[in-house]
Amino acid sequence: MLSRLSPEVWVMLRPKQAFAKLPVADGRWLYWRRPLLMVLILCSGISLLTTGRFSLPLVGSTAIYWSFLPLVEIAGLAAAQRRWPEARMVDRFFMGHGPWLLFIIAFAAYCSSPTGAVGTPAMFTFWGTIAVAVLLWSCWIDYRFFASVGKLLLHRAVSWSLFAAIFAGSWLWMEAGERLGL
Amino acid sequence: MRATAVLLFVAAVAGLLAPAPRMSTPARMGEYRVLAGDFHIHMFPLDEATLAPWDVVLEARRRGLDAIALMGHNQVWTAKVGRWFSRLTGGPLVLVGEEIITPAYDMIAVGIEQNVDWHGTAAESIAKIHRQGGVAIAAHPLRSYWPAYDEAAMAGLDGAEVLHPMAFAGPRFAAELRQFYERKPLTAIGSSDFHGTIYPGFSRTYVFVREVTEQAVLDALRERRTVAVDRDRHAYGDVELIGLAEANGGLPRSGVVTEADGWSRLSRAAALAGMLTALLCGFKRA
Repeated sequence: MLSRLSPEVWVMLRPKQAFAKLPVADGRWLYWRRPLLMVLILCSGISLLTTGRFSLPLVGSTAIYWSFLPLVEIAGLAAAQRRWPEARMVDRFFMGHGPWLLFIIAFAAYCSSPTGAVGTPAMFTFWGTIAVAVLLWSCWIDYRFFASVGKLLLHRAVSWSLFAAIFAGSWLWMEAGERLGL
Repeated sequence: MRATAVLLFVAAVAGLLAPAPRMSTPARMGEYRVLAGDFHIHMFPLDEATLAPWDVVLEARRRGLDAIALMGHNQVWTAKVGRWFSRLTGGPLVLVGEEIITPAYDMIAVGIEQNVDWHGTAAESIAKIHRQGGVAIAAHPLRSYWPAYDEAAMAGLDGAEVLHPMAFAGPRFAAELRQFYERKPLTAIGSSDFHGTIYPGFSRTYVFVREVTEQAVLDALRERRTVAVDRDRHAYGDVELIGLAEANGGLPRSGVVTEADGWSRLSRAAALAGMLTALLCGFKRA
């Protein structure tokens, strides 16, 4: 059964075994195929959340600027490995994004339904709790990928800082600008 | 990947065939043009929002909004990009704004061109907004924000969000927004505080203007010529304008979640199936 599914499923369930035993892939699109899959799922989710349907123009447009997300992930990977990662490493690392992609699909499914359109405090708590669980799950998978707590922390420090600065950096930029006298 | 491609193709075609959602706003009532507005919309990047300014403008137009205020958290440049794009493409009227986020209060500044520093008190921020010719609106003024709105702040404040997604999240929040709005005569504002969920215009403000310009919208906001209608058809705003609206068949309600049409439902289902298939069966083991 597992052999019919993508490696993401194996990595989600048994990351240590999967990373050790998965055969090495090759191909022209190896560098970008999984980052692009991540962008596709994310932007499809954004389209569902906003319009309640799959809008090709919206998915296409959001895919352009949301491609910053895999780029900051790759930057974090480069920092952790202290070299620019080659295609096989990028492909393998992005196999570990299954929990977050599953979360995006579930969140988009719920929030684009009539029941989930208006958030209640109970729902915020529910999705917040799920997000924390996914965060821990994802950390566990990436720990198995790096096989080092130090590398995992370095990856998180670089990629999450970049993500926060771009996605939610208003305050950060204001503070930084003020302190630098800009 | 073939199954994913087929499912997403179906989703895209069904999405294309889905009719645009339209809330019919009467174009004219008495001496006024009535504009559907949403004065609290955020954008990517920097503001924890998913859509870039141009996508927000296009979505606002699709949702039938005539006037919007785009705003960054403590910055205005993304809103200026949105205004530029809307003018270029003949989109809705775009007012540049800022949501001034502070530990004590959040405030919407509509119709400004320069950042308002977020370190001041509410009264100081209001004075700075007014100096730029803007309008100061209390953003989702729940009980925790009330201490910041002292006598000096209330004296200068122009409006308050009486309808906001929080108002539909529970009766306690709705009551707190209403109580703040009733403190003094304020411009009634219904806004979506759009970040990525729900949609621009989920909660909206009807603005009564004499001409369709940005300045006319600002004047109407300043002179309390607005009406916002909640789910229970309770209207907030100028009493005469509420009467005028009722005499003309009423205004659409905010916060109403309508059943999606068949094409949208098909598009959503196919997209979700496609996303799941892509993740679970997308790339086989090498």
